[in-house]
Amino acid sequence: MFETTEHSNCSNVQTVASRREFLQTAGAGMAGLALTVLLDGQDAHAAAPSLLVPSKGGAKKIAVANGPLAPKMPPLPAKAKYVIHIFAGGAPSHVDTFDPKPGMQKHRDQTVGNSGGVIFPSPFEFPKCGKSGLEISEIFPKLGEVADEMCVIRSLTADVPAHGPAAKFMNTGSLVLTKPSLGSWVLYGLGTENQNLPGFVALGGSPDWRQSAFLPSLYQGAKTDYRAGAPVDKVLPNLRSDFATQDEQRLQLELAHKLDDMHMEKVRRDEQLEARIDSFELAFRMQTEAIEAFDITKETQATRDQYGKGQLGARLLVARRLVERGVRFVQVDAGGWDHHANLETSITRTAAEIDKAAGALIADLKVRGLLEETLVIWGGEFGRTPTTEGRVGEASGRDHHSKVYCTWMAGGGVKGGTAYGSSDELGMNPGTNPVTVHDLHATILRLMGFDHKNLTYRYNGRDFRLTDNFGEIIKDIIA
Amino acid sequence: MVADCHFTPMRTLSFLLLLSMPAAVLTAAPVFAADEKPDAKGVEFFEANIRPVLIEKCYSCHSLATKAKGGLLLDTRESTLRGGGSGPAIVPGKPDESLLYKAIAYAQADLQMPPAAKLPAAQISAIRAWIQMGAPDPRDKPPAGAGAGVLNGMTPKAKSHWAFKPLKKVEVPNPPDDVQWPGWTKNAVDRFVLASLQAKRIAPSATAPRATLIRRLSYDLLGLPPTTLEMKAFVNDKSPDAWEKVVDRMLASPHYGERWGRHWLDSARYSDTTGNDDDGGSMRISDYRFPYAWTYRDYVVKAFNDDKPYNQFLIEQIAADKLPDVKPNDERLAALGFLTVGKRFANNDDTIDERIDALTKSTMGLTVACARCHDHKFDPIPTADYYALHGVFDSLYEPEEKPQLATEAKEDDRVQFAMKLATLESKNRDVIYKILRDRLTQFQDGAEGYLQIALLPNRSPRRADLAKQYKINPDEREIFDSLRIGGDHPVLGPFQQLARVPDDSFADKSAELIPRILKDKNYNPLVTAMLRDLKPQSLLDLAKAYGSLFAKAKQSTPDYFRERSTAGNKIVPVDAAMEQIINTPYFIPAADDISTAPQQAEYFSSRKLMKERWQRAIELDGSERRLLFAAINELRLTEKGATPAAMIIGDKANPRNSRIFIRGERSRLGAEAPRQFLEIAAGPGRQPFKEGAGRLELARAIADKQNPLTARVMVNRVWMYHFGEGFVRSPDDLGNMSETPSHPELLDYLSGWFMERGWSVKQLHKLILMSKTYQQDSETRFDGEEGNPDNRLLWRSNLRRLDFEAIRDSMLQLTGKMDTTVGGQPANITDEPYSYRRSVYGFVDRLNLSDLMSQFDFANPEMTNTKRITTIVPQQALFFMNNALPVEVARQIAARQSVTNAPDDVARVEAIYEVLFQRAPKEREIAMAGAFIQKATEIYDKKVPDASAAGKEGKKEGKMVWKDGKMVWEAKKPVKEAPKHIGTMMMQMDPKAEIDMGKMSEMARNKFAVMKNEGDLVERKPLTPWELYVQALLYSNEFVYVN
Repeated sequence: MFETTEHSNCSNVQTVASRREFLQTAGAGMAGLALTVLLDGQDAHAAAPSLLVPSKGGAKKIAVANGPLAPKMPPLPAKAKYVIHIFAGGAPSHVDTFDPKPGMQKHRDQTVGNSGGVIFPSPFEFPKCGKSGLEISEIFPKLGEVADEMCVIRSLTADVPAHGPAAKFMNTGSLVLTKPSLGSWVLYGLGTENQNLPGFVALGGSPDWRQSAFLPSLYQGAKTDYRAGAPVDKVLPNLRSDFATQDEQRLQLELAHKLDDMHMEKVRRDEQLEARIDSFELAFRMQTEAIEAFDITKETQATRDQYGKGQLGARLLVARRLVERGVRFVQVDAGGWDHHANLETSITRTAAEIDKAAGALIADLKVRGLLEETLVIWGGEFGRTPTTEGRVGEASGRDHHSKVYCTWMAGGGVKGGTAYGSSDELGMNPGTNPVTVHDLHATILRLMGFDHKNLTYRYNGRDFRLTDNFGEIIKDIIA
Repeated sequence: MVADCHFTPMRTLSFLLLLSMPAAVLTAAPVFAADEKPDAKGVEFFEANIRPVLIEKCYSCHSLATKAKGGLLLDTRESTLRGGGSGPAIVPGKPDESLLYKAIAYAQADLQMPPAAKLPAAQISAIRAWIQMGAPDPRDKPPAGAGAGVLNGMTPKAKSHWAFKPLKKVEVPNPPDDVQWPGWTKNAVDRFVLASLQAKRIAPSATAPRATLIRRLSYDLLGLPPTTLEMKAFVNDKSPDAWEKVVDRMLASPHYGERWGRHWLDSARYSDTTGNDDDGGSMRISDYRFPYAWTYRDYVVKAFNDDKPYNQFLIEQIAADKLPDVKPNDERLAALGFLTVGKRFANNDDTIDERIDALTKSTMGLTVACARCHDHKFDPIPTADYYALHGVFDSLYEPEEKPQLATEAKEDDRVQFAMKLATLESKNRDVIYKILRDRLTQFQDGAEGYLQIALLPNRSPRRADLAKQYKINPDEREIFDSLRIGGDHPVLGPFQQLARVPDDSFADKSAELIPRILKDKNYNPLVTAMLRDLKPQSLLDLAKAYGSLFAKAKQSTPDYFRERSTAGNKIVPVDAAMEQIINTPYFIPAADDISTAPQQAEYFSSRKLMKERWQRAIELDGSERRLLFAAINELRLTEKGATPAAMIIGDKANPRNSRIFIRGERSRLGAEAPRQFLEIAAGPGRQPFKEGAGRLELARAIADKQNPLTARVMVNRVWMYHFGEGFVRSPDDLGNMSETPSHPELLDYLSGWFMERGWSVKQLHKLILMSKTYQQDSETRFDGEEGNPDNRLLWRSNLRRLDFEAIRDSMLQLTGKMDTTVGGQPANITDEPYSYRRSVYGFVDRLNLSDLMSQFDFANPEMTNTKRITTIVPQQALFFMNNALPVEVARQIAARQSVTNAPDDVARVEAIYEVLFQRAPKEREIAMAGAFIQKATEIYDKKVPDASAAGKEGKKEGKMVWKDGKMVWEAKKPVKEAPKHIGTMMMQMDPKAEIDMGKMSEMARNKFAVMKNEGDLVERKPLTPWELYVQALLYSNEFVYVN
């Protein structure tokens, strides 16, 4: 009933097809064409006309930078290209982790000022680690080994000691209003290098930590359903078909492309039509590439052991695999720090898992030559009181405390083996060089090659930015 | 440039001018009109004595060229008179009432300017004299060069922005005929468009083919593709009014309201959830879902279908309850959802801000919320105007008892619902009593300890010791909080008073105090009797005595609870004194007062039941709140016979003006801002609102014909939805930051026309749709691309991608099984088991918007977002390729009768094209189909070895499984029957059963659980070649683009 050969006499179609073929042979080149967003030229920062992106495999990838997710050259020299943000939600105690306060000992069980409670000196030692002698709590032995890569900020300060708003503040720079997340801003500013994977991946965590708010939804963090040991083909929604094989899908795409070429003869040859065609090619490749990226069984047993068997070990290992593949921003939910009681035993347990995983991550990134261009950030939404209610004892815990707390960064152009700023003698208030969350954000953006004041997006008649109208870059921690 | 706009409540300012401001001054401001010309002598005095001081001492912080600290600019007459965030700086003739003078005189500690040092006495007295003489001031303009770096919306220039001016009376132009298309202009729209095209020497485009036209029209008006029949009828209709007929028919379709109602819901930031995961708190006792948001959505759909005059539509959404002819269960009350379906915040001022933002953006294209902390940087919206509206919203409350609306539900279903509701309500009542009793028993048992601990500071070390001694959890904050109560409490008051006596002199001092306490008749007689002979030596003695009093009360507590919790019972088994003790510290409501869910909510959220100030309800923790109210909300959302109700809002008994929050901080209050409309939109003669909170007056002012913004905003939106872009491309902001309209005269012409036609949206549609401008072809041309590449002048039609709803609804329609019911409770529109309801009826969760919806650029329901962004990302392609919905749709299309009955393969392709694209396939397309089917069959036969035996219709036993990184066919294993979901309510309805969280459905238990539809999952079996073919057609651009 059918003629099995098709009539394809139309020269127009062939032109379109051959141009696409050309790009394909040029090597994965459709990234730039593939994604588009139809705005009113709202990108406030200019995209570089084109650039060469060194691929990890050694070959050069050509990316035509005219799509919103295509990699962009930042306006300033960048130190880091990728971010792994390990968000330690629940508010880790600063005085038990990265901010040693030996001065607390002599005030043990004493009330201080009108703060209530009594001073609860940290039960932990803070050995000097690495060549730098950076003092890190004994509950982080593995991180101690990579101390020379770490830059601890001990003078962070925030306003609100309530988890929800403060966590949102740390991730979006806004307490109440819905603003884009740090990862969304970075993706908006830099695009991403691997169009076959989402450019901003969230491994767990609350929706408002990855939201794009008024930025187009393509800058939103991709929610993953990733758990250690769970099947990897369901990590992202619709990642594979329950109904068709890849051969069949290939056939479908070929048919759709031909139909689309015919369709373009009739209507204006529009960038968005081409972009949509290409998005199917990307999706097709994403099916295998994403599954592969999330599959940590592809790693050697030695590597997997190094990161640890727990949830966090798996997540950080995946984070490394993603960054290695050009994903711009990975957010890892590593919470569980809300130690109101039994601090000594419970924080030891919480610390152990992230210590192993993060220690392995930094060492692993270093070995692979990725640490230089990957900024690893660890920290929570605020700190904890240096005091405890009642008297110091085994069951003692610490309450929320936002006046001063700590965070650390590694790689990505920060000065390793250093501590910046300090809290006062008892870890109650900032001492030297107080740092706000806006300052931290400004610094992160600077490391990525942006002046935070100029990375803006116009929405409802106003140019918004991550740091609102605050933020000072902490120049002293940039290597 | 980045606007200096932020809201950070915690920040404090280093110093602030104009701190406390008597209200009278603000209203006195217009005394000295800004345009009065000062006399020459006055000017001379100003130039000699005042201007130099201002320049030298004030401009560095209060000039357009520098800063506007505290919102104050002192470099023009007008801005000086207007003053800053707290009101006018000077009151001409009255130096002692002038803030400027008070500030420079250092009259108040908190208001001293300049901050560095006081001015010399001579300068101060000069300024005093100048104000005394009426503050003559010749400064019409800020000094040259000013304004460069500073943003200010209060300038005359900002006020003269086109959108704030009245509509222009415009002449319809009469351009000469187009050379190529004589007679192209069909109506006024065309004449405006052609004139502006001719000015650029660009010709309009020819009329598009009919098949294109009806598809464009159908998606525009209905959000659905035309049916094959409609397509054929129109294409073959030779009558001259064929187009008009099809326009009229579609405007009359009930699907029209579903499409255009959804557009308005984008503006109204519609959602079915509060967006506040910390639900309730001090604010609401319920779970995070709105049980009745959908009644607002249905109101909107119906309003568009009925072509309710747009002004009326707006008024009802703001003040339906205040309309003179409103009835108790009026369907218009549902309109108030406009104000109430917004996001909720823990801080009520944030909720108010959200409402002001949504109201002003959606109705007037004004970003009034920018003026929360300072005068608007671009538009003439002073902070005082923001707080004028704040006062309105702060004078509102949401009653728990909602007016019921008419329902078409079947009697049986309604009875079912009523029974289930009654069961849940009575269970809730039991649970309330149980929690109350547990909490009370805990207190009565440990009263001696609780009372001593409660009065200690939270972090006192003695707390821990006492807690240990009495075996009390020191974190039992709820009980401790409830014991910290005023000294007038009839039971606990005496304890509170005596607890203040120092330990070392307790015996003596308490002996003095007790007789005084005994005289007070307000104290409970059992307490005073106990105190009379007590002679306590320490607080411990007192606590012990109280302890035995509560232990005694405990004996009567079970009886009391039994009687109290019996419905209809009036028996009180104890005397009044004992009742008071049992009701300490918690008020125990009578069964009849907490029998319905709204009453139960009232018990926790309001003080309606409490007659005395010191009575208090227990405070529920999060899980208890959910336990009580989530299941009921779910019932309202899912039960077929549920009674719909309106999400109303009401005026408080005593509406109050708000005072300006300086820098947005509630703790720093400025001048009172009378509740009134925005100055820029009110026109002359603005009056403070008089009736109640002022909502009806506000509504009428917004919907007033003289309001320069309202009609323009709506016309701009209608235009945008028809052409892809509005005259102004920022539909929610027509202020100074927006662009110049592409066709300013046409916008004004249409806005005037719209109002003259009684604000009829349908007539506006028709005028636009009847134009040749709308009917142009989308094909591109060299002259157009050259002269107007972005097509703002509309020399052709724009190519547009379908939005999420249109894509999904098209798929449903093509299966022939779309549920065409208009209105009703929400459905899950993204997850299996799939609903066949139109997308407008989808459950929208603003806290956790479905990934699919956000991937397809659904409007972010966090706030007004009238314009959809169109993005293209691979996740969208993954949806088409791998999601079960397109698979199911492809299967159903392939199974449609017209397809299966086709006599041969070519006819089958034709039938499929007819369903999908309402056209015949081209020869080439048929050939492609043939090639596809052939290759797909080869793969299929290999994949499914028994294919030839079973026929090619996919009836084989087996399933696709994921193995070694790819999908493979696993034969012969029987297909496991898909799990059947039987609705969401899975609760045991046995009234005697205890409420068990484990038995509650996932949705009621888990605050983020998605709503589930009834029905089957899509069967996991391989697609046949023909099904694969149909699915591939769904990938095509032709399917998702309208041209």
